[in-house]
Amino acid sequence: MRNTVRSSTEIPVDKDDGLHLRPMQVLVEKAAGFESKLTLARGGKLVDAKSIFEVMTLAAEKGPLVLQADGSDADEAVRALSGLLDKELGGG
Amino acid sequence: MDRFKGIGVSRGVAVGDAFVIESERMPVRPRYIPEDQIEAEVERYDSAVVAAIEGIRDDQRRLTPRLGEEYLAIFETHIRMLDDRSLRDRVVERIRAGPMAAEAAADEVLRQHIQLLFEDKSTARWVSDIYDIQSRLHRILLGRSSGDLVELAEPAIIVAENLTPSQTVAFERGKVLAIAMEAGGETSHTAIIANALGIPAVVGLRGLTAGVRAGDRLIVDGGAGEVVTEPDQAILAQYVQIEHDIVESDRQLIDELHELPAETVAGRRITLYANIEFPYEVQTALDNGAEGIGLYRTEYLYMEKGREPTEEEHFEAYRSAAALMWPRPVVIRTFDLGADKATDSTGGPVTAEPNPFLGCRSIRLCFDRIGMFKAQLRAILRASVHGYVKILFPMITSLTELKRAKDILAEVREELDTEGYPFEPDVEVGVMIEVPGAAVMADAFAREVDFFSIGTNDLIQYTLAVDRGNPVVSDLFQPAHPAVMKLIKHTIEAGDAAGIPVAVCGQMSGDLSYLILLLGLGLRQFSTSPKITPELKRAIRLIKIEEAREIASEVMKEPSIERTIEILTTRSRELMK
Repeated sequence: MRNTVRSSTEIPVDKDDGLHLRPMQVLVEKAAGFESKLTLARGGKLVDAKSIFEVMTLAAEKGPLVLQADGSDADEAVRALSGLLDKELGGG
Repeated sequence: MDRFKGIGVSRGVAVGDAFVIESERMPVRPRYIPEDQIEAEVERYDSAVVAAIEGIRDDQRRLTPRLGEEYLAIFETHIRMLDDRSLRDRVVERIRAGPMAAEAAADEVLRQHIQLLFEDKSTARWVSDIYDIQSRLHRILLGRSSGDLVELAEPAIIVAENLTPSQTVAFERGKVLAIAMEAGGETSHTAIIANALGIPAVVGLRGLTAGVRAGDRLIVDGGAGEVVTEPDQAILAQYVQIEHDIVESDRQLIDELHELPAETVAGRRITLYANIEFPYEVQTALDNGAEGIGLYRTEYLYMEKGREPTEEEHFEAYRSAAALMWPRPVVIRTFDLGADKATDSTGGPVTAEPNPFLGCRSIRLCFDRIGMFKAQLRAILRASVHGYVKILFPMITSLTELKRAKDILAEVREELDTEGYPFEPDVEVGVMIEVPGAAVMADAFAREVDFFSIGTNDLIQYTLAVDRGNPVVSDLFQPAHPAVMKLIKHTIEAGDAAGIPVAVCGQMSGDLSYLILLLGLGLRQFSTSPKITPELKRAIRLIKIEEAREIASEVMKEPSIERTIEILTTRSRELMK
């Protein structure tokens, strides 16, 4: 058994029109594969990153999101999800 | 006369009568339940979710031929939402806390969610998606029939406060002249779908539903983002002119090119065929200057009817297409069902397969359902005396399979002969080259068939082991991958060596830079959506074949995808200047 670790990172949302449903869906699907508890935060609001229902309530405009993971695979989860979001949301 | 200003999300002008859709806000009366029914209500909720997801899948299947796969990603998102654990937790919590009935609990949770989404401008655009899953759940939990399917007797302009994506896609093709609604933004689903259907749409029209009654004469200007109600004669005439001009400029491109051949600068003749799904598209293909049907995707006959078509229905579809196209050829591909096109119409549901794209699809399904396969072949052969018909077998991977398909065709010929039906004795037979194994063996196949048709979508998918419908990996779907190029080049060369024609009928040839590359590789036949035929013809008439060859040989030396794309984009831009 590995120890529970906490890991977090900041993800920029650079697209002018902000977040769309599709990248969110991709994020949620990927997040579901990790054991760790995964949280997305923005402007004082925290939501479960494994739920599209919750993720869609985050204000979706431009600006950073914070991803936080607690659990045995926290590091991997943060790495995988931030990589994914960078690709989906960066630039444009 | 009134004017409403909104956001134009799909260009074009339409004049017609308003069909007003009342907002579907089915009020749900809170129904409280005794404690011993809590578990039963939770179960009822769970089965409603399952049924709602099934309903979405049905819509998906029904609408894919009309809209194309990419637009149906909306439905995947809805499935994800319905299946969401957090939603379920909240609904179950409400059922217990009431204790109340499932529909009342779901209604409370979803209404709160909608409130939350409305609080921020950037999230308000998703409210219509929540309405959509809400109405699906309600219909099931309250046992109401589908209220989404709006039956339009006459073509009309749809006016609504908000349309759910399901409502938008459910309209019958040709019956909706335009869409005008109060809610929505530029990226709303209605916008996407209106574009796909090619009808004008304006959204964000504040106060519209209060100002319009059913039957009012309306003008919708999708370019300007404007709606005019009960226009006077002068305004009406002005818009009729605008509408006319738009149609005219499209027509002009078509007319300009109609009598001109598709040939390159040096006069090399290129053949442009059209891909069609339904017989009525034959006319579009002719109008747009296509020289034949390069790919008739007959599986849509099955999907459209939701059952296996009878031999007569097959025959009538093929006969009319062949007769209309005569003396130009119509290449009829036998049903390519299974995998993403699995339907009950294939004679009972296809058994759940762990890897449907590697499973019993396409020609393999034809062999599995010999009766169905023979009925289709009979109809094709019978249609062969009414025009110039060719047969195309999809997804052939080995000579054994090809032989089997030809043997079955021979049996059908004999049967028809015995029964006294007339048919063309030497109908040409071709294979789709869409599996890497077949592309590698193209020279062997070339000796056994009359023509090749390269299906680039599947060829890329199987060569690179990537499902382009899966958003997580779809960026690996790269037509520019050198392995794909080599397989296509090899297939073209094998066809040339054997003296049989080779066509490409995937989406790849619709892209200008790939069009140039394929020409450079020696391809002389293309089959695409008839909509882009004039566009392709115009491009071909600007291309010098030597330059295309240079580009192709440069690309073929390049092992990297990124460099290949770079070469293709810069060189094709230079060439098309």
